[in-house]
Amino acid sequence: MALSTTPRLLVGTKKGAWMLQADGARRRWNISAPICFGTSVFHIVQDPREPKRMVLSSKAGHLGPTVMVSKDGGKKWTEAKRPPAFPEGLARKSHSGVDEPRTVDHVFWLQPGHASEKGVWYAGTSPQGLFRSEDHGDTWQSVDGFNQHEKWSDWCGMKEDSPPDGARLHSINVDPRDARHLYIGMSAGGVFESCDGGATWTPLNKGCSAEFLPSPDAEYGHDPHCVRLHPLMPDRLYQQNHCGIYRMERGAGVWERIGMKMPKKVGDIGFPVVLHPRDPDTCWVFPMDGTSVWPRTSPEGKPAVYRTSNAGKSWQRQDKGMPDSNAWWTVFRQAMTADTEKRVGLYFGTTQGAVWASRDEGESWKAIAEGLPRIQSVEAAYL
Amino acid sequence: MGAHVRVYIPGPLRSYTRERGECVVESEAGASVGDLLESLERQFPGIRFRMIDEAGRIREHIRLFVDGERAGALSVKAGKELQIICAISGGREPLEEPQRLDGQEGIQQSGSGTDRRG
Repeated sequence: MALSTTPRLLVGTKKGAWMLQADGARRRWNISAPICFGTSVFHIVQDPREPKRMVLSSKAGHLGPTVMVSKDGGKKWTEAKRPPAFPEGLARKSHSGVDEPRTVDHVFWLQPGHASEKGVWYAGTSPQGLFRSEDHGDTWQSVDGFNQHEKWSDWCGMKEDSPPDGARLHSINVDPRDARHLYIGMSAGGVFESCDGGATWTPLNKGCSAEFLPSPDAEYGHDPHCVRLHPLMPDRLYQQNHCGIYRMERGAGVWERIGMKMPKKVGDIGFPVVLHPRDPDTCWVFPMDGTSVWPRTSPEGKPAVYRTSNAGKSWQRQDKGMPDSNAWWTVFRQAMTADTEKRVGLYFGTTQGAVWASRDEGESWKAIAEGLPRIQSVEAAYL
Repeated sequence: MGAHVRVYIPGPLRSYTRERGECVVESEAGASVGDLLESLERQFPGIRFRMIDEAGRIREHIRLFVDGERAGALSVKAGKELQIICAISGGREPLEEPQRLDGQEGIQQSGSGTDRRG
């Protein structure tokens, strides 16, 4: 069956997930009934290899974390038979000196595997854990090369070192040329690379600042907020970090701070980075106030997207249609995305429950949904 | 000799029990609460992990009562009844007919709920 030619947005919120379906012009959007209502949905992602399949990560207030899977485009959801869970006996260090059992608090990030590996998915958890499913998300196995690595505690820090909402493994990137070549990001921990399907890992943080660490040249311990590999130029990585916006050409192996060209009043702190699907030189970020005590709102209450179309040499502000004052919200790391239309559509969900859309690559914006719970993720899908 | 233990299921876990609020599990003589939850898992795969983490600890917001007495550990001996309680607030009845999209077919909630807390 042919796929729809219009995008559908998969929106994960603090109180469930919703889908927004565009009309042919992407002007009108219909919103679905809630999915997993009342549960915190961290990520809901379509499988590009089998577009009717989706995977969703969820945590209810009282219960342990789980994963839901759908094979009919999100009409019916079934709970995974075996959600991600650490192997027994793993510990997490604490400043108290008493180790705690390491257990999955929630599944934070979902990533379909390589195009050649149907049914394979990866999941990143809080605290930092990497898991793999080979049956479309129904059962999950620990990637022990990471989870049981002898340096896990060094890389991931102690319990108290976590960001306010918990330490997380996110930004799982699979090289389209090689299913065994993986990148991950950890908050905190940094960016790591595996060239053997997750059996071994190497830190990849050279050139990246970590103002919260004693050493300016630390090998790991950094705080990438979002890392994206461009599928058409897989040796190019973009990173929105706790300490700026970066780009790496993998051959050079050093992060270059491309956010220095952002306006000083705005800064280059934020959560998401979104890539143009066909132009590796173009990407978008959504800056937030990362000064003083880190308010994590749009700078001065004036939200805006910033775009570069020359790989970070310069940036343009794009805020037409957005509030010009008193909009004290921001956008989380997986709550901004792009579609694949000829004139690329951009979408983001806010911490105050609105979904904003641009049909013209960020030049103008319109709110297409309001009143949702705090938005944690937005992904584009075609069904 | 085996016995039957009545287990009360809170709202957020009834997606596993086909919305049943109570069920009966087999119990061997001398069985513990942990043994009962293993039996429950065999009947309703996946339910145990939502209550007990991978380190074998009762999750923070789950309370277990054996014949009305709080069981703080899985090693507590089973009784005639096991009540599983969600702390502070519980589940509620399922929503009415799911809301449909305006003028659109195909997207509606179906059997998706895992937690129907108010």
